[in-house]
Amino acid sequence: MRGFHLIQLIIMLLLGSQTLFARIVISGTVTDKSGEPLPAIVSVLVGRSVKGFGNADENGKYSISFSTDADSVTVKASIMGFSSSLKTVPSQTRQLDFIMEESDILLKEVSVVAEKITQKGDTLNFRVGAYKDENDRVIGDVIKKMPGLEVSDNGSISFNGKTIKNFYVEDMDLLQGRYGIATNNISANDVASIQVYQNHQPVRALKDWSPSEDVTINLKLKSSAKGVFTMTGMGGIGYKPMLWAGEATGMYFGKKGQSITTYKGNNSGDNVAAEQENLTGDGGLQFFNQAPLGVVSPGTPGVKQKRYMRNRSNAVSTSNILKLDSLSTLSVSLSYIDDILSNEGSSVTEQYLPDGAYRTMSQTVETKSYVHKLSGGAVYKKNTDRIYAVNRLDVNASWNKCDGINSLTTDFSSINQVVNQHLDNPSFSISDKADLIFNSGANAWNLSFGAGWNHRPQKLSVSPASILSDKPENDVVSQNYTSDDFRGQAEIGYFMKFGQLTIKTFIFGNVDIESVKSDLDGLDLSDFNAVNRYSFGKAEGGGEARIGYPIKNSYFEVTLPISYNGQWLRDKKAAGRNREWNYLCFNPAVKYTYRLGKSWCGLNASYYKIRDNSDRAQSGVVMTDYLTFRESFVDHTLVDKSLYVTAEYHYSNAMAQLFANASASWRRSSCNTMVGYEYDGIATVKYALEHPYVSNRYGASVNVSKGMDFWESTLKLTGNCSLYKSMQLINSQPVDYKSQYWSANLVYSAMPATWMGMALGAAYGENKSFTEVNKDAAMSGRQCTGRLDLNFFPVKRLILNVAFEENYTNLTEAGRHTWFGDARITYKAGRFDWELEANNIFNRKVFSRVNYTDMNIYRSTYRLRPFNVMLKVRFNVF
Amino acid sequence: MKKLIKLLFITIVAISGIDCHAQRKDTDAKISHYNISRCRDRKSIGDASIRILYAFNAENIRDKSTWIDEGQLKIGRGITQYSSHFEEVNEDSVAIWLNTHSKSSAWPPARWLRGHRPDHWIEYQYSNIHIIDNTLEEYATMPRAIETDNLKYSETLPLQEWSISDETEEICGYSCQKAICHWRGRDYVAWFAADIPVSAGPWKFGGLPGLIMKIADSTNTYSWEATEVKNGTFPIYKPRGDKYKESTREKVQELQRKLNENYFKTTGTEVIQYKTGQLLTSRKHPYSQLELE
Repeated sequence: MRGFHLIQLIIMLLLGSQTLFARIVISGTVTDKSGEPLPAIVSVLVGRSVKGFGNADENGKYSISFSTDADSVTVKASIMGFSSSLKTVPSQTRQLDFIMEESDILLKEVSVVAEKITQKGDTLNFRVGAYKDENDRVIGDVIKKMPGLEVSDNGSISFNGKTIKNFYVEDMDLLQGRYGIATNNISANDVASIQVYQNHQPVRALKDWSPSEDVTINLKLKSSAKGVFTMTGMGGIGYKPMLWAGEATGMYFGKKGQSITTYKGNNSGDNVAAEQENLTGDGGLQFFNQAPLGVVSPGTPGVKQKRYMRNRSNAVSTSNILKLDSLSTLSVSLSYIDDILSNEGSSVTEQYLPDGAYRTMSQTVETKSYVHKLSGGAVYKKNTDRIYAVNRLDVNASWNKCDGINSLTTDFSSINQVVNQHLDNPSFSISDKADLIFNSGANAWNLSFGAGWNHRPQKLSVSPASILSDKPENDVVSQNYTSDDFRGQAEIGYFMKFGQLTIKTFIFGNVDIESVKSDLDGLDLSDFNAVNRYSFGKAEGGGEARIGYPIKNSYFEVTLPISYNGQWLRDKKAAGRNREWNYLCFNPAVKYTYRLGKSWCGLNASYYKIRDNSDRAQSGVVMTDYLTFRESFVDHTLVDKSLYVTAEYHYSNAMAQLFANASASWRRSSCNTMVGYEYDGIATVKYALEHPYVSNRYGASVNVSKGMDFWESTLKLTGNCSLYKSMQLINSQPVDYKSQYWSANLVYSAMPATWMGMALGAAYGENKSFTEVNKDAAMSGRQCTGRLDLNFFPVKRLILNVAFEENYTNLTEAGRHTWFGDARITYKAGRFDWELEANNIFNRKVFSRVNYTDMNIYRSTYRLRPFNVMLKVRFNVF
Repeated sequence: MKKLIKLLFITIVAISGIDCHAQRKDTDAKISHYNISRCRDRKSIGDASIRILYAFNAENIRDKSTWIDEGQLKIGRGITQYSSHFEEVNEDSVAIWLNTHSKSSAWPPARWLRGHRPDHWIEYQYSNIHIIDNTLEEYATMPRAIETDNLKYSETLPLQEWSISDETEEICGYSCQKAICHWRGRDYVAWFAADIPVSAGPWKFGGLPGLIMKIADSTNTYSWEATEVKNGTFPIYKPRGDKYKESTREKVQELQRKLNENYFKTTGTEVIQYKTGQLLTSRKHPYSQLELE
């Protein structure tokens, strides 16, 4: 050891150290304010460099010997629980005492190996910074790149195969299911982490009663985003045609309350209404009254709406939540959408005939929809361990219209006609739901009530009438269809525990009355009844027992509902048709879950036998669009017996950023009534006939998602397949048919360098519908999509984004491949972000898509927005 | 002359950061079976207000799967604890799992452990060190087969005799100053942060006028580097004393050495290979204990 010190001395001498200078000794005592000695550590610093140090002994005494050429030194005494004390003194031997003041040390927090995902129990924390690049503006952009999290086209989020049930911001349910407002507006820079609550039971009073497989997402905000009101805006202009866009968003996230208010408007094709949709399905009462009338228009093409929709959209919404106390909240929301959506294109419909041939109808289509929708809601919620009370009021009003101009030709007639359509499609609904749960630990009570009304007066006008009849009565054929639905539901539950066994019992009563008035004017329908005036009601009352039993890591639950179901028809035109039907119903279900560590699996089986007379209520013909008429020839009760079985497996390893799930399902349905199509000229008459048949639907899906440290990348793979075997009536002949479908999907996002990010998406799908007759001749529809996004950040303020997209479809003669290109340059200057974007760089004019529905094939061609350029400026107001 | 060469070697290693032959978990010793009662009955003996995480024997500081352990130093008033953070995260997860599945009589076989070969035992991960005043207590948890032979001992807080140099380096966001020492048979280079006025460090190291952020012995067999500094309230869990037999440092370290060198022989677990019918013996493991004296 002595030798070791000698070497140190030699090294110091070699380094020309300060040992050449005289030794200085600083000594003294360290005490607290009351004079108690402190065993502090005392060090001598020259600048920031420690030259000597020593520990104070139990009497608080210290002594430090050192050498220096500096004129003065700083002596620092420090100990946990006290603030460091510094004294600068001349470099000479001296006495120096310290009196320390109590204080907690607050260190500069640093983490050099921060985890991307951390797990605590069932909660996963996805660190936003680990997945975000410069190109990500709102939090929805980052969620898409996180392994295990999927964002569907409509904006709904799922985690490892489970669609999320709740979306919170700082553990508050601000948006009540309309969480697209959060994902599309909250800045990615304001969110610290995305928390995923697995097996989340949002009702505290039910925590010990119902294990849950539900998933909730919570946005954990950065402290800088909390308690401050922020307002951001966007304005943009472009060409061609003349384009404009504007946005304004105000947000506040405080401890006592939260608020988001947004305005979005544009005529550049961006869908501003989508984010207002309730994505968790826990809105007001569901109404089942029909609004069957529509304008003939091609379905959605499968490319972004921005590519084909001509619009003029305005949407404003406000969502607010106020914490009344630590466990009670009041939420109020209001939104208004004013949209004009125009769509142009053409379609070819191939209708299958029983002999294996197809008949073809070709149309050019121009539609213009006017959407006005006002929605409001208020929710009061008290959520304690003993009491859960919630009341939800929802009011929706819309006054929508749609105009359509179609030009029709067929291969089975000489028709070549322009058809004008106009649809008035207003709607009003109001509903209120209340739930009360009282949990005393040993047992619990549950009371639920709900009531609502939905009014839908539709009117469809078609001209010229000659297209539908050789003997038209007017120039215009008009169909009125007004339906009113009144619903009421009540339920009382009592929960008991016997050891590990839980038994939940319910008594329930539901009533649903639909009142319909319909008239078809302008056609000579002497052979048919064209008027409907009736009300059809359903009421049920019964009891349900739900028995749950946990065995080790398994949970077994059986549900045994038994009810008495009454249905009645009151025909106001023909009192002779008035009838009543009464049934005893038993629809059992079983559920089994097994949970172990990183995996869980579930098995569900349910059986139900539905008896429904609503189809026989409507005796008159209804024109649902100018090509389709609906008529019921049924005079018997529809009986549908279904068995539905699902199996699912989920694996989640947060540390390895690996998430996987697989599911399989089988639904066997045995029904005594078959839906059929009769072709009468251009019209398709959809009707129901008594003809028993069995259908089977098999489905399977696999999802794997993995985050990797290599290039900070995320890989998501999805596979789906399904087979549907069923029967259809075509021109009165029953035809067995099969529909099969499979698809595979890949998404890869990565940050190969600090100056670059990328995302690659590829999807392939194949579907085919066929009968025994045309099994070999039937064509498979094959569709393929690929998209590559490249983002470059050459300097901190500049972002360059280029995207290429290829769409392939095999069943079109021309335009099988459609290439799209988009580019954007963003320059950040202080509080302003300037964006110059170019859309549809290759100036594609049309896009084709082929769809199968049952046995029919639809080929649609959409006219696209031309190449256009937009300049936008985004800014923070405060 | 030998010492001079050794010192120069320390300097070269410290400067170049060469990873010579870091101690891997290459013993046959596996971690003990679940200690459910330890997770369920954990009781905090106090709170720390600062926590520092260290990468222990990391091949790549950015990749936790290359670390042997993530050590944690919790510092509270009058108490300092060094233990495994990997193990604490696992125990937290088990505790939460047991809490949310209170009716379950089984538990997940998979653990929430990580690092290089997370199911393997090494004494530097499965030891808890508590320092109160001038006394150091070590609770040594033994591997599978002898998990009932857990041992504890106490000793006077060992103090390293440090020499400080003017060299500085930034580690985990803090400017650190270099210090060297020779302790219990090994030469060490440490980097301490004077801005963190805590005279502590990983394992049993301390006594510098600032927190030790990085330390490695001259052969780089043992190394720690700080990866996180955090303020907060961190409960300090002390193992249940009655589950650990009283012993001495010498005896504990002797047993640990033998476990590393020949696990099967030391634990008396004779395993006959199914295919050969031969007695399974531990492979020869190059092993060099941290405290050589």
